[in-house]
Amino acid sequence: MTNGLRTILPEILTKAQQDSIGIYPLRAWRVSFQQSQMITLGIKNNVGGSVYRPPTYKSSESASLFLVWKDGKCTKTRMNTPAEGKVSDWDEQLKSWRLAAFADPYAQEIPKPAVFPQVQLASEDIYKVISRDNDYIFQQQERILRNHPAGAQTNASIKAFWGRNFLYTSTGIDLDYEESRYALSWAFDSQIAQTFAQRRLPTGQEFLELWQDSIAKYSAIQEAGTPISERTLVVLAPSVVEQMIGQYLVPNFSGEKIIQGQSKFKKADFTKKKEVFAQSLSLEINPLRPYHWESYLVTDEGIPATRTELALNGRLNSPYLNVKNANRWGLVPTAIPAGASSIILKSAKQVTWQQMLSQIEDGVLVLSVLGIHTQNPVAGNFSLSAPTCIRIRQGKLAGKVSLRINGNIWDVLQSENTAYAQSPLYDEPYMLVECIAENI
Amino acid sequence: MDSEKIKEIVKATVSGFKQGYLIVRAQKHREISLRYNNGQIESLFTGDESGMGVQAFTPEGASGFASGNVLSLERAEELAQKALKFAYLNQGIDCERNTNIFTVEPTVADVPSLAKFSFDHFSPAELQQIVSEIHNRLLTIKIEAGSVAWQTVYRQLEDFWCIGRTDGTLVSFTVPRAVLLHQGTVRDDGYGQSFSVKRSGVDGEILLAEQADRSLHLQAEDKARFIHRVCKAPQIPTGSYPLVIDYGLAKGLAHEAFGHAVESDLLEESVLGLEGKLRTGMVISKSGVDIIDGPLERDWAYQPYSANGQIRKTVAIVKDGVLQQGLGDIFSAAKAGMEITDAARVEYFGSVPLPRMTNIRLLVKDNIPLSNTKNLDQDIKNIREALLSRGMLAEDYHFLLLGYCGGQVNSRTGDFVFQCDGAVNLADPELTVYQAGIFSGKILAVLEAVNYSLGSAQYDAIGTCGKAGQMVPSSGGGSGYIMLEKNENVKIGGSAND
Repeated sequence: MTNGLRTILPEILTKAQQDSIGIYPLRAWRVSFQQSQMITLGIKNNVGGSVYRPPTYKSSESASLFLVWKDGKCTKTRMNTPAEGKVSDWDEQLKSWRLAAFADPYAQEIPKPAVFPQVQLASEDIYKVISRDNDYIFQQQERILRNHPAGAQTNASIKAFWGRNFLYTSTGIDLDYEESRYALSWAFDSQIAQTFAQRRLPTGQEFLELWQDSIAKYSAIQEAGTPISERTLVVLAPSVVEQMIGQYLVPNFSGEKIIQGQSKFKKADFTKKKEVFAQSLSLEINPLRPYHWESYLVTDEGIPATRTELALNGRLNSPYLNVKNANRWGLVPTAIPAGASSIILKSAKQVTWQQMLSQIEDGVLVLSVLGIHTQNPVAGNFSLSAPTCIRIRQGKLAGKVSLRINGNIWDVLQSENTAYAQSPLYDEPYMLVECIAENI
Repeated sequence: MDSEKIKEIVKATVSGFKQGYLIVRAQKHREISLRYNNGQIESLFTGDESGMGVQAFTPEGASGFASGNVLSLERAEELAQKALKFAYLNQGIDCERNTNIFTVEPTVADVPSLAKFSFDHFSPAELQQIVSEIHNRLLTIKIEAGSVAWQTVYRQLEDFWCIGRTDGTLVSFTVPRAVLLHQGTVRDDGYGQSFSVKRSGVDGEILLAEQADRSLHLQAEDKARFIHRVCKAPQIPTGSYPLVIDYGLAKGLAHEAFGHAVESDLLEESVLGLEGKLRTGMVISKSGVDIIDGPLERDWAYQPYSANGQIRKTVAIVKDGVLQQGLGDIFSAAKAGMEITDAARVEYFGSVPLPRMTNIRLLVKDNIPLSNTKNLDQDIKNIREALLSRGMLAEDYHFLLLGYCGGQVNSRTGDFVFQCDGAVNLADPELTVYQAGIFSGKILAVLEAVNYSLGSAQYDAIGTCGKAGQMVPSSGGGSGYIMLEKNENVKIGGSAND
């Protein structure tokens, strides 16, 4: 970022705040700057660096502003670094921001400086990949190209991200921190997909285990599986569980949606700690986990990262709340989800995936579903096509089947019969669920 | 920065760069969005962003890409060098090379905005007043029991694009878009379901039109009452049925089942391809069925030129039941055995272009006329009467599916799905309402089932397509409601226990 804008903007806002005779007096303000760089490589149909997935370099510099004017109105806006590196007429700029102000009594509060937690968000290794050693990322691409299963149409994407963030407020927050991300994903025949996404590089062992897991699943779908029956146990793979969390849990725990009548839950359900899930199940957001993709140091508004329990032992505990909605609820701001994986399912009866798998005589593993984003999050019903599933016979993966699955996520999460199994490879658990499944 | 200055930067970047071939895309994006919840403003956001993406090619056809969000000649030259460096790194790992762009004729064009009102015609304060009035009227809607929570979103966007190439191409165009969306969440006795209705155009004129005719308000009112019935309704038993789908679902069917499957970059893994080539000439439906894709002026997904600076053509994907043409761009059309039409689109300046749809529509020649009532209940009755009077109504179940909620396709397996808000059994004189469950089918079978359309054509069903993670406006429709006869490869439902 042009450091000029980063320096001048807080000065301009402070002046507008202090200028008691100004035409557009400000009461408070918050401004965040982000500088980022990202390198992406891709494989399409077994070929690296095609015209659709060439090596790419992206740099971005932007500022987000939240302004509270003397009359209590607010302005939310985003701007680039101007082409010339400076804004020629700040009075005009302030005028245009003032024109976009709106009344929002709950949002006027700008957080005060606080003690920010130590969260590991930045890996120097990723910085090196972006700034000095592009070879690492090309070597990773080459490894996938060299080792993918014969006959498999392989697609892949590799992304390395580095960012530097600044947060300044009129209340005195002055924060400067770095972050990194590394995402690696591949898919065989558009059916078996695997992803690593963290704020650090994968270890050699992690890559190997993820690769072997995807190879084993790809091998298992080469044969046709026997059709399922009514007795067949249905297990959702972690990637499907993650999609379900994103579609159903994330929106329904939003403090804004709850208070506006757009969620399954009501405000009173939280006050009464209503039991809506199995007693063994708890849900939480934890942005403090080292190097996790969804971890953060501070929210966009300046609230330090903290752990929030959304549900405890089956009972609703807290929605997630930004500053505005915390004011509406009369509570303090909470952790904010930064994606589907942010909500962690914790079951008191959780086993390992190997334990669960070994105990299933007649089951099916749903690897992917089509259309989950089309499902109604409030009702919780799901009716999904699952073209790629693997039969489980006597604890072993055994052949491909295609299914349609129907059920209701709220019933699934409430049932004590739903079982959870953790694998070190994934953040989300495997879930053995009661639903209606049929062969297609 | 004004448009002329942006054009100068693009022109100077491509003409001054001698080490390789460049495609430069500069974008200036403006946006204002307002959101209201149950009578109160929730948010007003403004954004003003710009940037450029540079795609560089070595003489051998290896490519690299670099983007940044500072619009200046100095920055553009840096990006060009970075993109070329990546192109050579790419060449060093034996990447797939593509020299097709070197053979294209240069184009010079400048397409002005089609908006009647400029982006700033309505001040944010005026927009607040108008949208607030439109939103507050929703609060007067009553349903039989329970309650409806209302949200209204108004988004107004303007994208100026300038695309330059080393061959002298300099194409610029402005795409304005506006949408007014009402979302309702109906709750009654522990049940709940949300829905949305939309009205789109190119500028604030849609707000004035809505104030005048209340068309979206009436849709929202009809839909709220319908969804209230859906909330407590039984699910359709899983199975294959004769169906009638609304024009939004017709768009979804054409988009998911056919549009993606004929995009030239996906032909190698599409069931509509054979050894990477489009299966041109393949009969996939009865005669009289067409699928057309192409830009329509003042449409949500309008784009006059491709992201590579070539004119976007209208394509008959299916003509009279025969697979005829695909959505091809300069880089893969020939390989996929199709014409360059040029379908390349990008989400923003930092994206690499891919072949994409614009407005896709499913047209059926045999049409049963319906009077235009603009009332959902009356439409449903009219459809039943039209089918009954012609002896075309099934005995037990003949479902009308309403309200497109999105879809997905796997072009490799040929599976596609889409979801709707609810269904009505037209065969039942009581017109019983059902929860629909997902509509799933096989690409190669579904069009065989299409036989008639009912009522008049509508092509303004809008959405956002997320191919390869790039979110691009999409739209389309059908020549009215579309009829599908029972087909074992097209299923809907639901609970197998019902």
